[in-house]
Amino acid sequence: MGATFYTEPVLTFDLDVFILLPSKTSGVISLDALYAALRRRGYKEEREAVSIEGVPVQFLPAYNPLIEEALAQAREIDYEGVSTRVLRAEYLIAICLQTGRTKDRARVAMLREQASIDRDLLAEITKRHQLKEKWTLWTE
Amino acid sequence: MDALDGVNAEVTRILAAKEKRRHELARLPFPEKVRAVIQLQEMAATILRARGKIVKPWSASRTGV
Repeated sequence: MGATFYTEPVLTFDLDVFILLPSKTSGVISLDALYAALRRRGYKEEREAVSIEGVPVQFLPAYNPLIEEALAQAREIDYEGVSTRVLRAEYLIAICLQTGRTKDRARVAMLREQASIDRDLLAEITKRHQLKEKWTLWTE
Repeated sequence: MDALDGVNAEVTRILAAKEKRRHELARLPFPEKVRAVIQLQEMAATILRARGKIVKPWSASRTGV
């Protein structure tokens, strides 16, 4: 859904929400507290997602430095009076490059075509996260 | 050759118009895009249900759009 903020609407049935969890000394990440809080609000788990107001929402802990940085740099937008954070298009591209599936490649093409991209920022991100080679491969 | 050029010119015009429309869609306000996604979900759900796959389109009223 984040990409749809910058591109034409595309079909999706679920929402991915990246989250930052407090680090634990054991190094084990658990979503139990989050799921319990959502259960108390009446939102139940359905396989890998939680159904919130009928929308399957997947909570993904930030699993590497690129995602952590993307979250830190996310844009704050107003969605019908609710403050929401959306990843910048340059970070969405970088995450797609890192994930590397066919559908990520298609998403990169769409973002390149339709979103306003800060080329300098993208170049800096891809360099810092060793994605320059993949960017060249996908775009030349 | 003239006929072919005529077809090519028409196809070029159609493709350019499609491209323009996609850019216009990309510039829509986010709530309008969400509405479009729900419409896409409803269209896809009919086909997917016929294939035996259960999907649930979002509810416009629940998502506040």
